[in-house]
Amino acid sequence: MRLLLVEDEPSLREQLANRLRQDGYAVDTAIDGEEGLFYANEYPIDLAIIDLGLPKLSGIEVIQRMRKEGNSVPVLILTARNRWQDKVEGLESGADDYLAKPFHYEELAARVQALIRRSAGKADPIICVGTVSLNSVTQDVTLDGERLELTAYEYRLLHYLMLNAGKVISKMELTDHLYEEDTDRDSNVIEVFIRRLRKKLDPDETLEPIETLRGRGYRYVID
Amino acid sequence: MIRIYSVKSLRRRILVATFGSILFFLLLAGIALDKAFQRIIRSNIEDQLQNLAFSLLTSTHLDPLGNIVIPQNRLQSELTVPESGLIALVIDREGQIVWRSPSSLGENLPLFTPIAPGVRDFQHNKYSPGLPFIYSFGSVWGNGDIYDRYLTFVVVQYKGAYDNQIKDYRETIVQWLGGGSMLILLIHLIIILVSLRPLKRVVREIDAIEDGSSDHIQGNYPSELSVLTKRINRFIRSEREQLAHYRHGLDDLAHSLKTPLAVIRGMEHAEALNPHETRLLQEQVGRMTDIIDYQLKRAASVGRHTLGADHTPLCPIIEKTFSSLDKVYADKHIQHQISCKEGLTFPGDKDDLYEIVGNISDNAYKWAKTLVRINSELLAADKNNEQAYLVLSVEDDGPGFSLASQQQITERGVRADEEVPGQGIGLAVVQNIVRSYKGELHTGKSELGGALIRLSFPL
Repeated sequence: MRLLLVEDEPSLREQLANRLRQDGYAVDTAIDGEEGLFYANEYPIDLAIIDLGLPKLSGIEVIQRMRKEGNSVPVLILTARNRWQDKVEGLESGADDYLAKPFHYEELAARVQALIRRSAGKADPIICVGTVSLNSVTQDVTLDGERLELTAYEYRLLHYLMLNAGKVISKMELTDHLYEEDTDRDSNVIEVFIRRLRKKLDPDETLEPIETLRGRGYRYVID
Repeated sequence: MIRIYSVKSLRRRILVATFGSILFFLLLAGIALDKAFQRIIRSNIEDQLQNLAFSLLTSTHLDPLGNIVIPQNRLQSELTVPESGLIALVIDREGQIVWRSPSSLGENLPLFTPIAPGVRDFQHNKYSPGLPFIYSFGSVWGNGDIYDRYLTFVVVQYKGAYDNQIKDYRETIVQWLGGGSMLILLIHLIIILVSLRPLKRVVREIDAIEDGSSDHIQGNYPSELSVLTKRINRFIRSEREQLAHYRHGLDDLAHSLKTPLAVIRGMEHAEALNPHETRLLQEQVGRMTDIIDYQLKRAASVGRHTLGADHTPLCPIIEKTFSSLDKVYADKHIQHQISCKEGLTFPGDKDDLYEIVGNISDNAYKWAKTLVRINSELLAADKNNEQAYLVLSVEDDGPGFSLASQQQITERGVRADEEVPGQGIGLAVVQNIVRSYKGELHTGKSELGGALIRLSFPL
């Protein structure tokens, strides 16, 4: 999952970005409203965390312009003022949830996950496809009830595929959603991770949960 | 004068003063005219009586026995008819009447004093209306020897005719001056009404500001009033600007305090801290956050403006807040019921209304199982209630308040449940705002099974 974090306070921005990266998200950061709006509209992000009190363009304006341009990415707003008028205006302008500063990181993480689930049309934090079950809160993955050991990148890849189970996902889309803008992208890495995931999910090669569609991408098979 | 100043209505005051001064002026004018008229009449009477005396003198001759003879046909007709009010006499040196006109028959005549030849005397006693006008003229008849006769011609006019004339005159004066004063008073009344009309307009405009339908005084006013209206406008504007400036400052303060707090809170997993220290750090950050939230929100709540109370439309803000909360609590699938009559207004500031509706509804959404209900109504003033109220109640089907927490919940900084962050602060903030509007907050049990919060604001 690729997140955009728009926060003007450098220490909070760095701290949050690091924590989110530790949790397996690819995080792009923007330091003001204009940059945030640019990233939100140009990068294939899955969720934006936007502070309301931003320089150049306020958080509310960023969200309004995103929505005006048809960008429906879920938005979580951060507010230091904690005024209801701001919260309501933020939510009215198109945000999906708010969090007042200072917050516990766990609360932020829970809301981010809930919004991502909700945008994928899944209310439950546990996604079950066939015999594989993924808990987005605990980040546990089980196969037939047995816990699987996955690396952070493997988890991110599986999470994205399972959230979009049944849909064809191109390699490009996977790189876009799993890597930040500044990282050195190598699409061959995706192939390596897919291979490793297949080995872990289907050691006997009987289920074949991840299907390869030549020239089009991958698909997580529903049945 | 004291009474006049104690009259509270400016219009009545001006009217009383105008009426009083007109009355006073007319009284003086009446007296002056009356006196002038009397003087002219008296002077005319003196002239008439003098002419009469002279004509008697010229008609008089002495017969050989020395008796006075005035032929009847030479007499003015009033002197020949008894009780005509005009009589003539001739008295000698000793004051004895030597001749009297036929009109004096039956009259009880007083004693008259003879006067020296060539001397004229006119007597009138203006302070004794009953006494007549008396004109006397002294003369001497003879050759300048001891046989000379000293005769005084006296003409007396009783005041009946004079009194009638004065009476007629006074009646005319009263009629004209009375009518004139009524006319002047009417003109003054119109002038006062026209002059005071701008004042009435100002009052209407201030009423409009009070009830929120206008935000400043708009009309053009006479220079005397425009000084006042401009200052009122400046006062209203500066109050609003100051409030905006003040709130902006509080927002900046909140922002600059809470962002560092967020960084500190994010350090909970720092390796240098042991679990006890981490917990302590989090507790302190939590306390600081609550204090900042509570104090800043308390400071930002304005209550009623000194002039120009806001009237914020209630329903749109309730609807916006509830649709926002539906988004935030989407996973809980809470149903909401809004009962708000179109056109209802909150007697205060928009920010305050957002804080009230936001905080109490957020609590309801947090605790509700399936349903949150908000109801707003206007309790009009009637026989039982002198005051009209806006009543806002929010209820849910959650677990409701415990008795102990009901008492604690609205005290400053007391949290009803530590596990639900902000509950106590939120309600304490609402309580403060409600108090600043002289309203009341009640907590209770809802018929839905959960908590009920009922707020009432006097209108």
